[in-house]
Amino acid sequence: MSAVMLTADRDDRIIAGFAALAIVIHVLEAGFPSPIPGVKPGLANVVTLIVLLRHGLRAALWVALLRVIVGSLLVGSFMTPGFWLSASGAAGSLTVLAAASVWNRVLPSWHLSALGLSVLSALAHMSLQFVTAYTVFVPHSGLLRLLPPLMTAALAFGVATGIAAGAVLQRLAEPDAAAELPHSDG
Amino acid sequence: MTRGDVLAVTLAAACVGGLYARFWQPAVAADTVEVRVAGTAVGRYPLQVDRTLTIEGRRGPLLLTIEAGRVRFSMSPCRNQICVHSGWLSHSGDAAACLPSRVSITLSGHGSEALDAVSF
Repeated sequence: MSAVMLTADRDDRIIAGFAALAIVIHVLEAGFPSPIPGVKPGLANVVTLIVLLRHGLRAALWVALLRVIVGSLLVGSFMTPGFWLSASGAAGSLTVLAAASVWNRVLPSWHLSALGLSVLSALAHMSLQFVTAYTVFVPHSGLLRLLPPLMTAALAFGVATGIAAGAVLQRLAEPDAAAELPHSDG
Repeated sequence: MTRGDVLAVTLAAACVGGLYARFWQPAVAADTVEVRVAGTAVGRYPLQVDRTLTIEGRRGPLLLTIEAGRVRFSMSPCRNQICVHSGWLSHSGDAAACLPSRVSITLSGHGSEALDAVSF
């Protein structure tokens, strides 16, 4: 009988560390009361953005996927409507982030930084979540009246998380902060 | 903030503004009321003609009063009387329901279902 040895390489450690960070933020955020159902700051997306800009799309996909699944298991919402909303939102925002990565490669002069990426992914997150809510859970046209305020919240929080992600990225780019990184994400 | 960011935020703000223009228009006066029992439409009535309708719900008859372009539940056999307390409805998209009787009414005008709203 031969044992299959799985060794974690550098990428695996980075993904695991950032996913853990994103899950903690996800769980903390789930405990916050929200004035309107469906409105959350989406701070966990800061982590996705940082991973995307520092380690590429593949790592960002993994971090987001792990966050949605493990986060929902910890909160106790796995497979509930809330989970599907969260998963569809994550799918929407990742699709947009993937498209934006291509955009950044094709048009470097119109390069999107953390702020632009954050706003676009927040809107995509809310849109897909809304489409899921509207088509699957509450197919009532009254729901459409909620769309403008929800999208306004998404825009505002997208700008806020984009600024936060930009600030963190700047700190990480400083040499002394980068030296601390292995401790903070392990 | 890069040029791309400015473009993205501007487009996003324009989209959100467009959503307000599309979904938050002022209420339009309704001209018909549609009555549904257990999800199936049982009739559409113009709001211009004043009359009292008797609807056969799951718990017995309910009375709908149409008067001066408005409509209300005026009598219901249910306990909570939420439908009656919904009062007069006159805007397109307004709705009221008696859930125990499984009777609901929805108002429409100019075929604009997109301007729907929920009234409890």
